[in-house]
Amino acid sequence: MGAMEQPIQPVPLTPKIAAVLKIFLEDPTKPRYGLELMRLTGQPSSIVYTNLAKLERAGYLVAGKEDIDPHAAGRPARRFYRITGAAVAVARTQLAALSEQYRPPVPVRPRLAPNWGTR
Amino acid sequence: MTAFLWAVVVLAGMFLSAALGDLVSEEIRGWLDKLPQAVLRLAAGRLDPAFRESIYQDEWLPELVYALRGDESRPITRLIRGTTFALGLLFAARRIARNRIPVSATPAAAGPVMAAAKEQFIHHFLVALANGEQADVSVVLSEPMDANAGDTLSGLAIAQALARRGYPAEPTTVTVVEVRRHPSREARPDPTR
Repeated sequence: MGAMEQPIQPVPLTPKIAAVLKIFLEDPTKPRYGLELMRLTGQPSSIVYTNLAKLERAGYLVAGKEDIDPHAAGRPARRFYRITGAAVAVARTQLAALSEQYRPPVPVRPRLAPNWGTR
Repeated sequence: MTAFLWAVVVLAGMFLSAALGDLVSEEIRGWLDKLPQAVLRLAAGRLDPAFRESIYQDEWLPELVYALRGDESRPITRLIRGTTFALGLLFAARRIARNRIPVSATPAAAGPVMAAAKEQFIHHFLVALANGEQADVSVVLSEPMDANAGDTLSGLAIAQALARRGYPAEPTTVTVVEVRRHPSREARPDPTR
């Protein structure tokens, strides 16, 4: 069932948000869990869940509930997040811009004089 | 004979202390398992009531339970992992809840009174709803709320309607498309200024 996606309100990318988005972009169809993102990014729960809330509010992510029978599984269903179709393009563009911003400049090689070494 | 009695007493003492040791460690393990959940409940206490259910019950608690199940054989790892997870949420609870508040009002529709401080106003407004206060504004929402356009709903009624819809857990968010001051409150100063 296609839940209505809200329009994206671009979030300024910090390196920590970028790390989370990068994981979502690795497989945009794959649902991701907070704990999993903590493990993959090495970020604490305080950062991961704040950024997930931020990204969900901005329309990058939609949340859903794990499809399990809590009684059979012996635990409650977890909440997962998935990146929206519209956010994939936005996030890719933002990550590319961020990467460009942090890319170190190409070192300038000193040009050798034509007669260098002939003396 | 005395030596034999001593040996029996020592043996019995050893069995008893082993059994007691097991009981004590079991007791401590039980209490330690409750520590992360207690910290998480503290964190939930820092949330606005309107979001407590959706954040604590739907997300935090299931994640903690899942995290703790993975290390059943290692109580110390379980304790550290669970407590770290819960402490992080304790410190960030208010920030997380603040970021869950939908801010999707159209500034133009919100009118000149609200336009300047749209986000701040809506934050205060939703917090007031969450606390069960009577709202001093009339709100037009894009989602059906069992009310007709122009009706004045109490803050509690709106909060309950939002909670019934599982908001804000559902991806289809309720959008505040217009926030107007109640005519009788027109003369009051803007509380967000």
